[in-house]
Amino acid sequence: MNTRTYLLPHRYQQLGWWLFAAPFVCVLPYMAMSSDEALQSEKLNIIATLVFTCLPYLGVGLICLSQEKQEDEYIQSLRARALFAVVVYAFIVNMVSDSLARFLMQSISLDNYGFLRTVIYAFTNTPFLAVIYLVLFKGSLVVNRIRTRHVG
Amino acid sequence: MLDNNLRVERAIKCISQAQLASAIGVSRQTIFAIENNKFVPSTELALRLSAYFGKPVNELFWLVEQMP
Repeated sequence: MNTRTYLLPHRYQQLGWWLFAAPFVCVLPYMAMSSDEALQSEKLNIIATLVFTCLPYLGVGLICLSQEKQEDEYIQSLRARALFAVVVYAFIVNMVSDSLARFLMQSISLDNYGFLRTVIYAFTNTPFLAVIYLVLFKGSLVVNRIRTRHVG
Repeated sequence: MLDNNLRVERAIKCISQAQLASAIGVSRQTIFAIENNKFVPSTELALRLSAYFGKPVNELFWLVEQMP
């Protein structure tokens, strides 16, 4: 069924998985290189930032925004459900944490709530939300595949 | 709530979910979800199913009264 979609073709998802896996592949060579003082340099830091931050972020983005092998309306409904859950999660976490921060500031005169803001950011930043979306969406796909495996 | 007799029609035609899915261009999970009332198909998909089985849409899908 030709469902109109604004997602990237499926091949970008494979590229996304490779980019997402890059840090896991590079962690051992990086540890070996960084322990060697002669190799420690600004260049290595830039490469490390690229490999351990930028590539996985780009990978997660590509996985989220590319089609499944057979993208149909049911798959899109699963996408919509996962996206809705993530939006609700982000809304609740932001609302609760913001209220809590304001309450703490008022009640115990907590002036510096930088640490709390950092924790809140860690659980509501875009890559983290994208990972939650992926877990929910891919999880529902896997559950469906297992359920339909033995049905004729 | 919507109910359907897709499973029965499939049994009459002696075809599997995978065969029906490939015939109408959707995934097997979609057929499974429709048969188990976990997913309500779009009008387009309902019409494709109707054309495939050669029956009107309201013989494949019908509304079930829900208790208030």
